[in-house]
Amino acid sequence: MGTESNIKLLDENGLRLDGRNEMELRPIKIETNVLERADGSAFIEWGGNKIIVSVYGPREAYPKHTQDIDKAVIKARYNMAAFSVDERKRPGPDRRSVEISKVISEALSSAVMVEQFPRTQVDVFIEVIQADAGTRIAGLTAASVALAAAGIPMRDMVVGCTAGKVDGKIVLDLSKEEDNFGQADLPMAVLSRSGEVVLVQMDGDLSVEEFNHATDMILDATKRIAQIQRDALVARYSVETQGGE
Amino acid sequence: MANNDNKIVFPGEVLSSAEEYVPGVNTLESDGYVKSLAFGRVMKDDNRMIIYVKTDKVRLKPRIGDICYGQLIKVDQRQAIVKIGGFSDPKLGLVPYTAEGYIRFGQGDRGRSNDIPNIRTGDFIRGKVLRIGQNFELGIMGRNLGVVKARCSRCREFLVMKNGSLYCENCERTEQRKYTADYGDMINFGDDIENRQ
Repeated sequence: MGTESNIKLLDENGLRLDGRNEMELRPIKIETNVLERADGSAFIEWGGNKIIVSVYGPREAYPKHTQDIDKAVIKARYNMAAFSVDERKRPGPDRRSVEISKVISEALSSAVMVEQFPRTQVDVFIEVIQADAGTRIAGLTAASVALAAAGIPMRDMVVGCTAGKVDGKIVLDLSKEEDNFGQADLPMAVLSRSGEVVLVQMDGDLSVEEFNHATDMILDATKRIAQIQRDALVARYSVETQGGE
Repeated sequence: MANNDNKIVFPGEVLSSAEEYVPGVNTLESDGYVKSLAFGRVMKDDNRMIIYVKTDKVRLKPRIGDICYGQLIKVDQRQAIVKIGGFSDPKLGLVPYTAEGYIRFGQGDRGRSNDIPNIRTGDFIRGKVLRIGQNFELGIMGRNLGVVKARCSRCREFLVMKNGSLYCENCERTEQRKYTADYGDMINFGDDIENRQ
């Protein structure tokens, strides 16, 4: 969420700048196993977002002091390419990407059966090639697909979506303009079957009613996104079978 | 007898009730149901009444008797620590695998004439897995086990086999190792393959 402005984000029919209605998601496309050397990988296009995720592990945790004798450690690294945004981003980790890496690690730790792999680490690299609002959720959604593709035992798939307040109205899946000039932003991720919330952050102000309404919209959208995740995994399976399994 | 009903399942999906089947690999019993923990195909073993999920990504781990490759990272009076880089699988060949192992001395692994073992830090070894657990215990007793490639302890040049002992062409001196019968035949990363004899 950026600064308040006079930009009109909703027209008289309640349609948004890109022509979507309040409940509409941007187009989502997920592809799996895009990288040969990773244990699992995924590429997601979510509106203007283009994110590639690779997963390695479980493997022995290094440095050794990071090992947990009881469980695996999920090490997610969220990184935005210098060319991913309009104005060149200074490469390397910054406060924002360190925070996002942390919340994504924690969200994935809730899903992965970390108890099965003591003293190991699972590396999740999330590289944002093109950013267009909602990258943390898009990255997390793709990371979940990459983990499943890697065959890592998980309780459930993680799926997320954002909602926000634009011109006083709650809308789903904010675009860049809505994120920058809207009044609130609520990214949320859940376990797709149980509905358990694994990530929730909020920028801006929402009333209790608005928050509940946004949550309902997100939970409804995650069902659709979870189906896209499953389709992506099945598509890879059918391609491999046709190739002569 | 395992039967494959070709059903593809996702993590968290219910496979059966807990009364029907015993949860196998990549499954979990929760709330009276057997649930999938991985993305893959459902397999049912109706003889043993086990249900499990077969993933296409097979996670391999060395077993007792497997041959491992690694580099010695520390050698002291009692044991040598090995950084395992891979192991040989009968079907897949050399499989990358990162782990730590150790070789215990005291059962004929030491040099006979003195207490200094005939392996040194930095040597690449081929060992047999004797024990699995938190760390892998490796053994290097046997004609085909031991050092597969070693560097000169003075100049770090690779040692070559000459007249039954390991020789440094740079320092013009020999060194003792518990080497394998095929010492030097392995192609290591960074070797000049075209100029190999």
